[in-house]
Amino acid sequence: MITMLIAGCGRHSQSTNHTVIQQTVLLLQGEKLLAHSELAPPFLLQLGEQLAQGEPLLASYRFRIRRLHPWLPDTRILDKPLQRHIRKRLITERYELREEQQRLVHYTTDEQEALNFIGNPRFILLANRFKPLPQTRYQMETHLSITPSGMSRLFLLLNRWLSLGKPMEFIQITELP
Amino acid sequence: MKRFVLSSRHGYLLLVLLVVAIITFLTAQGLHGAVAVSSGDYGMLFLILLYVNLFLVLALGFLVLRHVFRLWLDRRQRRTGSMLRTRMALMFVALSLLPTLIIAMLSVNFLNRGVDSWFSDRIARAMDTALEVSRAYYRESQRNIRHDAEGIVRNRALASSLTLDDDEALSAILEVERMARGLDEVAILRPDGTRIARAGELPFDPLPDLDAIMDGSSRALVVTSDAGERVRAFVPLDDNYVLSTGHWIDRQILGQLETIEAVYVDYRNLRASHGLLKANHTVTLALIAVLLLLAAIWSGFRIADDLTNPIAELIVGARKVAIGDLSVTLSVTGNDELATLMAAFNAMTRKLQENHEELQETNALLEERRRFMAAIVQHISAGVISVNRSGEITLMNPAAGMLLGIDGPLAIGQHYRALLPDAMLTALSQRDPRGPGIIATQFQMQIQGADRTYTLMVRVTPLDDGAGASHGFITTFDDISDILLAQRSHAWSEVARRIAHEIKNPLTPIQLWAQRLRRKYMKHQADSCPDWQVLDEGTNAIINQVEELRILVNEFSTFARLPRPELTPNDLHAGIQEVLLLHRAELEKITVTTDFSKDLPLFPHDRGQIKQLFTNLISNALAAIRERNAATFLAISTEVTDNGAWVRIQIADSGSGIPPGDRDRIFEPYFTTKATGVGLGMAIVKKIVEDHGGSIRIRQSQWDGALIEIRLPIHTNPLPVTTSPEHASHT
Repeated sequence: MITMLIAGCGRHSQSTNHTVIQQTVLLLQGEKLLAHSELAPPFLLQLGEQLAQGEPLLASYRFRIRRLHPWLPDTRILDKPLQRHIRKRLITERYELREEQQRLVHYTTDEQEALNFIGNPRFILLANRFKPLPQTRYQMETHLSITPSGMSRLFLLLNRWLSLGKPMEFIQITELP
Repeated sequence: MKRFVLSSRHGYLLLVLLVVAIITFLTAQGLHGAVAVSSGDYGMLFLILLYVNLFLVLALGFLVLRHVFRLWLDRRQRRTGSMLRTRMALMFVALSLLPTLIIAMLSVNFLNRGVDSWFSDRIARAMDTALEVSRAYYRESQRNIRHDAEGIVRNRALASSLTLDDDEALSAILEVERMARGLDEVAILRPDGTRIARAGELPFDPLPDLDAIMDGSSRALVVTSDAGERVRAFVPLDDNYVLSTGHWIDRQILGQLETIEAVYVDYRNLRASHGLLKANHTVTLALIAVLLLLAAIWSGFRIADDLTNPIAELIVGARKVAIGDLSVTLSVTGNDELATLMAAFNAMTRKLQENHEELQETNALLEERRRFMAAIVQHISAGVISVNRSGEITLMNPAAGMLLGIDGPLAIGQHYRALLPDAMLTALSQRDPRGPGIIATQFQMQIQGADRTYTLMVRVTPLDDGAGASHGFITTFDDISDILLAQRSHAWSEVARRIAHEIKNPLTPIQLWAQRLRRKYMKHQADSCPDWQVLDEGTNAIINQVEELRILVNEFSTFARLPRPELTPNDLHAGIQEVLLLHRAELEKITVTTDFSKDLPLFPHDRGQIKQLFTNLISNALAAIRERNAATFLAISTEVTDNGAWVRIQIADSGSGIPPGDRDRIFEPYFTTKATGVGLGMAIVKKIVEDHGGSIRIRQSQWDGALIEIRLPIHTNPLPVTTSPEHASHT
């Protein structure tokens, strides 16, 4: 298996919250396009404190790749969502981890493992077949929102529309070399 | 009865209020539920309520501002009802402001106090304690498992049974221990996980690293399942075996523990944001208070509109009715008192409209009659003068103006005493119509016109309202000069006929006897005899006087027995020329001019009577010329007038003329201005003219003499042409 690092996006972040999304790494294994994302440790500590209060959180990632055209509108060629729920059980003192797409629940008592689950997702499959075109520019956008879990979809939508709650949304836009 | 009409606007309003109420209810329900589920929704739901209220406040504020702006415009334009609407709006504001503020402040205070009480330190400590108790219970379960495992290991029976290598006995011992300690599973494992014996059964969980406890220690390793509902303890029995004990945590208790945990988490979230919560409450209640206030103001405007609009419509309608527009119809909605009033107003205007139309019809009829009467009054020959209560002339027809020599239109509005002739005023002053006891009266009077004297029959009719109040009087007067003249002419005709009859018969014997006396006694002239001379003079006088009497009687007879004219087409000019020829000798020293119309055809007239007419007129003219003994002119002219219907004949002379006062009487029999003559010539002329259907008048000629103007009809039945009033009055 040939693994090729396409881009490490952390140093070229154009986001105003680039300190939260520390870096996003794209890996090309054969024709499979994978992604790693890594949040800044201070933000992870902040999330750990929130989790320690027993508050359930939902980390919603969205990875988008656009093909850039010099004179035509840009074309979105990839849009991959990823949602992860996490909650610390205060009595049993273990973390409840759940990935939205897989609907599997994992438990751990290791705080670092729990924070990595929500803050450092690894090997996220973005595309099974991806061949970058030569002489073509791409742009990747990593979007993260941290919202209190347990809300209905309507309230989540209202939360975004009405700017309710804390501003826990972060965007990182990087042009791929 | 309350006035309320469910219009589309009310329907929309009710729908909006219903939606708001549902949203508020659901939001409140959501708040209540969210506290139990997730504290994160709490602030958000409050904010939703906040936004909803803010939206409603803005919407109502816009409506209220719109009403205020309209009211300001209406007040500026002084529209009807704006003052009442202002008062009602202010009243609603005043009535709603104080209670709303009080309720809002009390609510904020009570709610904040309640929120503070929720998050007091005691409650916080209680929540922390509950969580700690729950944790302690959970840990206690783990400790119990550990103690049980360690206790079993210390049991000598179990240790000795391991040497027997008897699975059934081992299982029995494990079952005894499980039952005795209330465990759900007791098992003996090898360090690699191979199970030797087991009593009871729990679901499989991944084994921990058992080699870590094979260090000769007797302390148990406690492991919980992923969900934490199962607890296992592992204790080494010796170097080759490990004892495992397992236990289900009570599901009911576990559920309660989860509830305590959830409540704790929600409480902590709420407590962390309870300042924001209070602020939300305050702002929300303030918005609700403003909302109520605006709703009250808006309702006030709406109610004021509902009340004042019909009143304004009534006022506008009344103003229209006041200026005469009776077609006003107000829209009647509802069945309250205002609707009844508006319906009554509509009925009133409808009735007024009907009455107005009837009045207009009556006025039109009266106007028609008035015009009819005015036309009659304008064209009748009688004079009509109407005088109001204050003596001002309100009506004077043309005939009155002509008879009295007054300009009729200028006389309107003037006092009758300033205009009417003295003779009439004298008569009216003797019968003052404004005095009490006025009765209708009539009298004759004579007034002097421009060229003749008129005899008028005056009738005075008082105007009263039936109750005795005088409103003036009406004076009518007719020119009866011609009637009197005709009466006198008729009387003279009768006299002449009788005289002719009574006198003519004895004249012949008298004349014969006088002649016979002369023949018998005057055969011999005896101048010396005085008696003879007396006889001669006497008989001559008798004979001469009888002859004169005969002439007189013959003229009387001619006047009285003038036959009806035989109207046959004749040449008028030829007749005139014949008469002039007969008087040729008398006209030798007189300049006679004739101007005959060439358009005059032969027309029906009695040639003999017309010739006699001209004979009399020319004789009178010659006598007048001789009497004046000045210029000697005689002019005769004819002219066809009125589109060939009439011929006008004028005979002008340069004689002494006829005084205006005698111009009517000159046609009376036995009236003469000459020294000789019986005064029947002009009477005969007038009779001949009248018998021919014509008219005659006398004016002053250009030589200050007399101008006789005769109009005769050319056709037997004269066409109905307009004749001058002067001629008409003399026919």
